[in-house]
Amino acid sequence: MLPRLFFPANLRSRLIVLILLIVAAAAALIVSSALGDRRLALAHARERMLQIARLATTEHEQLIEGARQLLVGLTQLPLIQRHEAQACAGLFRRLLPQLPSYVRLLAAKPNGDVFCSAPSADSLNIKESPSFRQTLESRSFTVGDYRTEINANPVVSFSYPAIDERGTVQAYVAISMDLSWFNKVFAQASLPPGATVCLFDRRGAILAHYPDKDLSWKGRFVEQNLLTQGLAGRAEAVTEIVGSDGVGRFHVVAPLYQLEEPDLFVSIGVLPETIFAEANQTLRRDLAGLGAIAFLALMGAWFGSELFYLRRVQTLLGVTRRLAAGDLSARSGLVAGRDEIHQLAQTIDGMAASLERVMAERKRAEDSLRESEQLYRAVVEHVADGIAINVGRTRVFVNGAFLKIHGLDDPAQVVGQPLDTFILPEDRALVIERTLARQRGEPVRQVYEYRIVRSDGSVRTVQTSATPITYRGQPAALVALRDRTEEKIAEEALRESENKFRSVVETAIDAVVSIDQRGAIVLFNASAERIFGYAAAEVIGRPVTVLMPERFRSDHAKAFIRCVSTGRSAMSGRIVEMVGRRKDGSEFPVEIALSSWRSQNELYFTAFLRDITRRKDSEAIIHRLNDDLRRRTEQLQAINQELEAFSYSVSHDLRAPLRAIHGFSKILLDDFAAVLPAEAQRLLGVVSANAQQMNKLIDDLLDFSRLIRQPFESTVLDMTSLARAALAELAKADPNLALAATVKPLEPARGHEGLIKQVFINLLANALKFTRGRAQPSVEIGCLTNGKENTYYVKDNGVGFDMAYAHKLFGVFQRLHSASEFEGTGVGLAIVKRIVSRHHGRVWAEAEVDRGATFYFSLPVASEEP
Amino acid sequence: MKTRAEILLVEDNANDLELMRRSFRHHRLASALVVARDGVEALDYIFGSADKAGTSHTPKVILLDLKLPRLDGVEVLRRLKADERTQKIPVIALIASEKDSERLKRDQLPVSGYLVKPVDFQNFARAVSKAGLDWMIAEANS
Repeated sequence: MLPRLFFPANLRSRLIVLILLIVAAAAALIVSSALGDRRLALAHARERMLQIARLATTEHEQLIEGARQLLVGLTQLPLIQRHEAQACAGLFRRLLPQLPSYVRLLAAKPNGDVFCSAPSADSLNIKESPSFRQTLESRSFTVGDYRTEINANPVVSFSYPAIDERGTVQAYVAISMDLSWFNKVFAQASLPPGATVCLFDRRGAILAHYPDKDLSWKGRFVEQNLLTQGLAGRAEAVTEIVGSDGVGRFHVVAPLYQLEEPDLFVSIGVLPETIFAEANQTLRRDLAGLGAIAFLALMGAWFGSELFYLRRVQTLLGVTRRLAAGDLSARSGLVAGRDEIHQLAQTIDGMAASLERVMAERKRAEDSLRESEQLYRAVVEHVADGIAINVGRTRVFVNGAFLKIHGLDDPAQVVGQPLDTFILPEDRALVIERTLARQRGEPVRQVYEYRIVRSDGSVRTVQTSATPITYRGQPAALVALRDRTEEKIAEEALRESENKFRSVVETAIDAVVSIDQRGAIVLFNASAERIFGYAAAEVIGRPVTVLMPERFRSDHAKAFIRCVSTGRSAMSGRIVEMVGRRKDGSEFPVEIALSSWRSQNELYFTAFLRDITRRKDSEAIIHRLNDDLRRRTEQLQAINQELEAFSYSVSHDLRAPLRAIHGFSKILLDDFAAVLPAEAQRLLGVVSANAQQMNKLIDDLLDFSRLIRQPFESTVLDMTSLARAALAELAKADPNLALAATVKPLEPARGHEGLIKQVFINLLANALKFTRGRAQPSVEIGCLTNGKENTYYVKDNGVGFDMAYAHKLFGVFQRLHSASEFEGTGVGLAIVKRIVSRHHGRVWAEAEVDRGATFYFSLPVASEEP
Repeated sequence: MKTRAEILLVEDNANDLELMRRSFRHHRLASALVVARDGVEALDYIFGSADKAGTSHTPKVILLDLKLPRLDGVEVLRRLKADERTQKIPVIALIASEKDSERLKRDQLPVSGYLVKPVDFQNFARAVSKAGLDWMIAEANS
């Protein structure tokens, strides 16, 4: 912005100044252009002047060359060389009129005496002439001085020596040329009006001048700087020089002819008017045009601004003044148009409308501020949080809740007091430090907790939150206070409970997985990581379906939607078995207990999962074993039933003959004693006793078969007496053979008395049977022990057997001898084996044909439990 | 033929029959003893068989061997107890050994008592008495 001093205030003046500035700039441009034109014209003029100068030069050179040729020709003439004065004078007189450029012909002897001249001259000696001396010395063509003859035109002489065949200079010939021919040359060249051409020698003496109407130039010298310019060889430079006629011209200077040094110069001067005439005329015309345009523009600006701008601006001025005065309803009404004035008008109208709106809003805001002020007062006094205002370290305001928190009832107890009055001494430093720091504008935690001592002495934890405010012009702090004692206790309990929960969840052997109601995993404990092979971070937020095989996912999704809508799971409170899917895609059976819970209106489900692969395997094995067992039990029951039926049959059928034997023997003894001899009665008694013995054996056999099925009582057995009892029993039937038997002391054993006795009976019976044919039958009962088990044996010297058949020995109804050789049913050893097996013992035999046999059976030692 | 104290003895063993008859010989009940040799005969006697013109009998007591040719004693017992005409007739099982009585208990056979063979009169009297048929003994001894 230009200073006000130099720039008119109103719009119209400024417009005109602007136009003038533009016109000035245009004028400057035109002048600059004209100067350029003048430079161009000057260059053009110089070229022309140089052309003319060159024309003069060429002309001059041709003249000199002509003179030289003429002289060369003349010097060859014998009449010259022989100094024939009469002939020479005649030649010269004839020759001169034909050479219009030349004014004198002259021939002299080498001593300087002129012997021939035209026009004629008497007794002229030119010995002192510099031109003469120079020619004789150089013996070549010489251009003499340009000089002005008194009362004559300026001339220049050329001379040449006449040299004979011997090389001796015989004569000197010179011709003088009239320089006025120049005027003819320049008259032929079309020089601009007022131009001058000047010929001058190296001294500056003017030799010829065009125009030459007056001869005032004769005997004068050119201006020094023209001469300097010519001598310096700056022939083509243009110089403005004021000439002798008092008129300034532009000059060029060119040397005319030079042998060694330039001797003659031509200068051409042209009037500036002629050079710049065209440029000046163009300039004048342009300036005139510019002046006319400037005038029209100024007029247009003066009246146009009135028409197009000033009225509207005045309108706008009026509107803005009204607005400034507070009349916000003022409007310009200029709505059409797109120029700046209209835009300005619209902006002002818009501004006015906005202002009106803003003012209306402000009024409403002020109203609501008043209301909020009232509301604020009510809030401050009724809010549950304590509110205080501190200035510096002093309380200046507290509300009712603040007093209540501190157990006070009168604001005077606090207001005006230092703010740390009721703060627990340990926490005072903290509160003061933060308060002061906040006042200094340092960043301080906005919300923190400290403890206060209430008027009744109890300590409470309060949470404070402070904001810097201005209170009655002073920087102050607005402090909100809340008693958090109960909350702290609750939080602590919650944290403890949560820690407990976390430690339980994290240390749980079962996987614990919680999901939200979108099915996204929110909790995944360490056991879950172990069981599923996922890190918690990998699955948190992912759908829980990643933990199950794909074929169950859609079913799960449906069930899950149902769960979420009903808020509970069909599985809730039950333990169900499902299939889990590990990270590596492998599947495994899981047992799941599911529960749901709500937190902040969100529904969550928590599953406790257990990998039951091992249990399932075990169950499968148990199942199989149970099946086997059941089948075998059934089989056993069937066998038992068969066995029982068999036993009953045995009992029924085997006893029948015994009953008959016994019964009829008894009838004989009872009814026929009188007729029977004593021996017959004894024998009948033996028959009856045997029948009864048989009955007993049947009983034992049936007992034994029952024992196969039922557990029996084991007691410690005195094996020696048991063996003896067995022997005694057998001895009843065969006392003689029984004598052959010896019983060695036997180790006691555990077992069933009747059954073990039966073992001895059977083995002894066997031994007795097979030694019956021996001359010296021998049966030995003995025992071996190794501390764990006792091995009992019954050794005989009977017929023995082939060991090849030893494996058949203990089979039921297996016999190694024919019935005709040895009686027997082949059950005795089978019974032995069964009984011993039932006692966890073993039975075996060693024998050689005809060398006797030894039967062994082992039983656990008596001290050991069965 | 109708007797006042009819005893049906179902027994296939001739020796046993003879020994029993001898034991009963000195008692009046001997004449009341009717013998059936197997289960079929026993049932024919009681219910009357078609080829014997259908004469049926209701013995006062039946002594029944459980193991019989043709029809087993157990089956005979089942049929008797299944028919309301005969289900009240006391049946005394004849067994070979005291130990066989276990089977009677275990199978819960509906018998009024048992007798271990060989059956002599004393044993019979004890068994009848136990079965509440004392009148039969009184009659036998009268």
